[in-house]
Amino acid sequence: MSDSKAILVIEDEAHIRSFLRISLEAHGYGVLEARTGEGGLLLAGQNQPQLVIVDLGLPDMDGQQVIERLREWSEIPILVLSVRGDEKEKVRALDSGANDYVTKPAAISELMARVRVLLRKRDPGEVESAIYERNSLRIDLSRREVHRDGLAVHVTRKEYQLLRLLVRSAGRVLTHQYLLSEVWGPRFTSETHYLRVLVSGLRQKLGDDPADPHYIVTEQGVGYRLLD
Amino acid sequence: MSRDSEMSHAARRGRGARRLWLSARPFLLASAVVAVAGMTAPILQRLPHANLSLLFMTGVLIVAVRYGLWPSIYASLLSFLAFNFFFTEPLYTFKVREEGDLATLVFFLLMASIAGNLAFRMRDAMTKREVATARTVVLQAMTQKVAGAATRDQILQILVDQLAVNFSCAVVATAAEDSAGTGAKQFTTGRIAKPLPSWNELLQSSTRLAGWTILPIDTKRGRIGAVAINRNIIIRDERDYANALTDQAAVALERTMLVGDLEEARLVSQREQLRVALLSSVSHDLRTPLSSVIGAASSLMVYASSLRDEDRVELLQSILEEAERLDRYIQNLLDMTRLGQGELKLQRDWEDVRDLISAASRRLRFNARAIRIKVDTSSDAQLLNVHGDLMEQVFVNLLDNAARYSPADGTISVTVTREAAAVVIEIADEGPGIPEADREKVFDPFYRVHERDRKSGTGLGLSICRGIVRAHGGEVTAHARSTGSGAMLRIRLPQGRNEFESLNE
Repeated sequence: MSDSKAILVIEDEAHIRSFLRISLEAHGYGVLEARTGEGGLLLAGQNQPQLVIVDLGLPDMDGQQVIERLREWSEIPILVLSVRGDEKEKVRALDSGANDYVTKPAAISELMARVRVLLRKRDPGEVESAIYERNSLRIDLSRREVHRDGLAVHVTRKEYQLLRLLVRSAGRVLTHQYLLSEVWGPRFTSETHYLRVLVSGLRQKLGDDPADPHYIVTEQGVGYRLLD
Repeated sequence: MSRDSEMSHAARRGRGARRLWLSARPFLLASAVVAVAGMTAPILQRLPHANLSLLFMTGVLIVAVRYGLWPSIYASLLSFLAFNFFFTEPLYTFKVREEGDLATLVFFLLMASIAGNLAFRMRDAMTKREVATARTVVLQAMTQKVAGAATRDQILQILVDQLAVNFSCAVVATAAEDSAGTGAKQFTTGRIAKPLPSWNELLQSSTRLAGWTILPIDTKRGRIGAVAINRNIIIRDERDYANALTDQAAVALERTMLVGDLEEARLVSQREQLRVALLSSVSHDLRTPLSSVIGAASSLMVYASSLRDEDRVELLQSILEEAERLDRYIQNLLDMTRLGQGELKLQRDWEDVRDLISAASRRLRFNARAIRIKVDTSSDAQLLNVHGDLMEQVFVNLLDNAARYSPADGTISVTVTREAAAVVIEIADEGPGIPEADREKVFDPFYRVHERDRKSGTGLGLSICRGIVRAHGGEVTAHARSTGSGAMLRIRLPQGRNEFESLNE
């Protein structure tokens, strides 16, 4: 098996494991499976996978622990599977080093999109793109320019800071706490209304419909994601 | 301190003098009456002796009626002496010559004692009647007060306060634990000089306790407590009165216990109904989508090779949709449990109402189902301080409901406006609307407008919406749409204005 693109799945539910394996293999990824946290950590050490998908509810150890122990020695991208209504757990997982999450039950397309985003950065020789283009929106970080329908959009300094963070992690969720501390400073991590106001203003300038966003998506209770 | 004691000393002295004056006064006044009679007599000198004696007799009677027995006997003796001294031969001596004069003395004494006695009884009866009237008034007032009291504790406090006022001493009431689970408790008022009677001493009121009068509080269900008055009440009237007050309280207590029983019975039957409804809902609402999933999946497996592409897609689609329906249902069951057990802790944060609506329509896959939704928010009502996860579920349920009843090309409109201290969210569909009689009932758990109507869903959604909105201090109500046909669900959430309310500036 060419393990250059192997993905490690740590999940105790056999059905979910098999559905993930089938879907991932259909996309051409090699798959390693582990039923327990210990088994997963062992496989990760032996095989150096490109990505780890870990369920937060495992029989032998807390998924959070798996993330922490992986992060002790590795920068492998980690995608977390969690259930709805557990936003605190998601934020905790992201804080301890997970790169993104998917809420179960999830459509496979959503999961694959996350996997793609997380693996893209790993492609050797890829230069981090300074340009974001989607629909009629074009953001050029190297020239500090935002264009909508070919027209320049004036954004404030804070709006631009936020946009820059989102573009650099396009497709990935960024937590409220992270964004607040990056844009306003570490003392402001609980002032979520600052962020709501800023995002609302930015969406209007970008011509984004908050009720049906095409650019900035709200991840309820967690943070924001710029659609990739 | 020394000034206090001086003052109290002076007060005591003053009180002693006053008491002396009070007891001496009738006798002084009796003397005055006799003196008046004696001075009036010379004017009537022309009358015979016997008639003069009547004058003194009048004085004695007046004293008897006004001041009672002893002053009247004193007045009769004084009258006799005066009569004898001034008006009988030999004049200005106390010598008695005629037998008739002796008889006069005897009659004076006799009349005085009879009249005095009568007068005393009359006054005694009057005083008693006044006391009785006052007590009746108190009793009535107390009846009214305890009738207005809702709980056992209030009633006992009223009783204790009343007895303390009436008997001017400390009072303790003890209530045993009652059927509603209200714990045993003691109520006291006033300063208790003597050691407080113990729990058991109060409840077993047969025991005698020095310095205390103990009255049981008995109802038809037996003894539920006792009241102890820090005084020995020996007089029957007073004891009866205290008993009457206590009985009033007992009657009121019995009433509150009955109310409690009724409430308990109502809750039990409601819980039972809910349990039955939950079971039938679980079996129906879990089974129906499951049978679709099983049916579609087995068809795919058995006929995989012979199925046309579009049929295969349709079967897969139904598996997906039904599974998602199950997921929503389970989420609702979970939310209901959280709400029902009172474990729900609101974690309020600032949420953009449009984000909540968008998240809900994503979960309902409105895009894929070609359901149109029109959102209209006023800029000062977009930021809500709510528990985002739960409010999202409210929107999921309300939009799901609206979508189910919308015609094929219908639009769901959501309007968010601000009132002085609240944000009002209205979700209107273009469906048939909710009959007026059902507009409140739709919020009952498991209530369906039409029992057989598959469309009306699990019957859980709206009751959960109401639970969540109420947990936020708000209310959700069903209405008719103001223009055209359709249902309109209105959420009113108390929200103070905030400095960030203008999101778009």
